[in-house]
Amino acid sequence: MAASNACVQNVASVPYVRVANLGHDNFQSGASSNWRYQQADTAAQPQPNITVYLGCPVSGILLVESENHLNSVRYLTDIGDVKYRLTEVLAVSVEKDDNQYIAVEPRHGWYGYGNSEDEALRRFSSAIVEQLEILEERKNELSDSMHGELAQLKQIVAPRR
Amino acid sequence: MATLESDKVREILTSKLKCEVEKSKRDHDWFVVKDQGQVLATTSMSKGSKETLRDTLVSYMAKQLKLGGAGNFVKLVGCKLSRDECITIIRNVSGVKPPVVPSPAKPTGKVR
Repeated sequence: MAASNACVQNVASVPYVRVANLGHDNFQSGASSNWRYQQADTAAQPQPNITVYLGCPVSGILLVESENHLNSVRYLTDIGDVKYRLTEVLAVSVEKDDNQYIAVEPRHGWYGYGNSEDEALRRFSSAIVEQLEILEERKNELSDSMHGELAQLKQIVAPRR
Repeated sequence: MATLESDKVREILTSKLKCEVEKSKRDHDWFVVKDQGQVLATTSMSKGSKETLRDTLVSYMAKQLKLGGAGNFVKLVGCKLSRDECITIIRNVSGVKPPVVPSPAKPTGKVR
């Protein structure tokens, strides 16, 4: 894939692209792996020049960003919570929009924001714990979709022993 | 650009989308979208003073709310989408059908 006026960054492993659609202002691809988050829309403006090779093994999430945006990737091994721990390392990208920093885990859409990179990451960590608790407290009222979100959170955020 | 003011967003989520507001958590206030007894979506906003939510953040909030994109979120805040329209979008995006309410039994019409 190549996109003009944009930076393409490889983040992690591993889906196998099965479907791709190029719309007016977005690129959409579907992966055949067993990722929980298998489909993504990526803004690709202005005038993108995107070539997609269907069926090629693609190693990673392709993030197409506008130029001059901060984009760093942090690997979280701990969320700094006395009650909860992470069961796996989370790759979190940090984006900057004007003076606002947003830490995002792209597979699940979890995020936190703040006035600095560290504040965004700190709030990302507290947000996933708080959301886990919010959904746990309402587990008898959750739609199927929200049950799925709770299950994903519980898979990643576990009580400390 | 789809920037939104946090105080306006709070007001709309609470009074128009009729979210349950959970303020007991340490860093964020949580907004729970419910319809017919079902929790359909949640989103959060940092505690603290009024701030401008930038374009990127608005997009992530819209996704978290399952509103299908920042445009619909902006329409909601701009009062161009009703609660019912939003709930329909959220249900479509998340694939959640409304719970089936059993209809009252019809009389058979056979009287002996």
